[in-house]
Amino acid sequence: MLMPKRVKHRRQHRGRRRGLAYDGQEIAFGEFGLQALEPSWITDRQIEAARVALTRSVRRGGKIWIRIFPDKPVTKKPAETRMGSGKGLLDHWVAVVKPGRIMFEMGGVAEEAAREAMRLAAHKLPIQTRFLKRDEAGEGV
Amino acid sequence: MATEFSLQASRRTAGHPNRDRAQGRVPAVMYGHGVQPLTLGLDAHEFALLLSRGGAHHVLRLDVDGEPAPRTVVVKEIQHHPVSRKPLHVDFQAVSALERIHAEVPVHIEGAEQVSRRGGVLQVVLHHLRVSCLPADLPEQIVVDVSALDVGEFLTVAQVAVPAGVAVLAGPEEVLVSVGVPRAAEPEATATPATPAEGAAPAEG
Repeated sequence: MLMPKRVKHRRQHRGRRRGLAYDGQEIAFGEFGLQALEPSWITDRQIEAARVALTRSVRRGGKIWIRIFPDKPVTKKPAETRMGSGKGLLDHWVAVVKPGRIMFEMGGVAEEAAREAMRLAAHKLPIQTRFLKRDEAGEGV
Repeated sequence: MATEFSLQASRRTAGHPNRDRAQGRVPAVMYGHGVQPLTLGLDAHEFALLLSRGGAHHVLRLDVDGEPAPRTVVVKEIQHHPVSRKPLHVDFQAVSALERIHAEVPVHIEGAEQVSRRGGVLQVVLHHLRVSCLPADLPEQIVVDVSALDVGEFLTVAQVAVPAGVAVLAGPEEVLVSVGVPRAAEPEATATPATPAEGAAPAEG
């Protein structure tokens, strides 16, 4: 599972997820991309599940890029614990995703295979997504 | 390359770009060497048609309302909305027939089927090449034939044939296209711990 090697602060505020993706809106490496259409926290497990779905779908060949990284810690208090006594323990890591973000990219495969792989990967994610091709995404100028 | 695409633009005052977009206009700017910058507005539909015909990589004739003669320009940058993909803003660079320009030219790959038939995975590292040339020599695309590449081989920028009068600004040793070995199939059951192990927990500080 993806997680940071080391962090400066072990616990973070939750923050807000307003606005659109500032960066990572263009297909940068491959030919095809999976773009987020909604804001969400994508957990490390969801990223891993999507990655496994992508690699199993294309089996051999192709190259996959994961353009999001779960660098935000999420804490959770144990069950049946009274409130107070400070913030809970680290539970998992999430990537903060905003609309427009290209989360996964693929290259070296035919469009139909990439489309099917991305469809399967999208089922592992908690948000609406869209399949993008490099020329559709308006890259290059 | 002859100027074959033309576009109509109107002058606009700076400010309220979203109001213009709501009215079907795309804010734009035109600048260039020795040219007074102009803030412009384009018809969104006309500009979308130009993009669909590949006009973004051509030398264009820009007719600006109130200007005595059309300007010869190239598209320098297009900003897109991240979700709707509609163009938000366009930068035009006015060019002179006698001055060399720097431009990004798309790389067109030919012979990819032969590579995959041989079992290789084609990886395009550079999708665009930055070139320097006179506006008349600006190529629409640079064709790269990869049909002779075998698994493990690659093409560098120096090995690509470009039209006369065009100089590639990328480093000659930069890899343009490579053919990789296919990835092995994903092993079944990849059991990984749900939470970081005690020792692997990121340390503060």
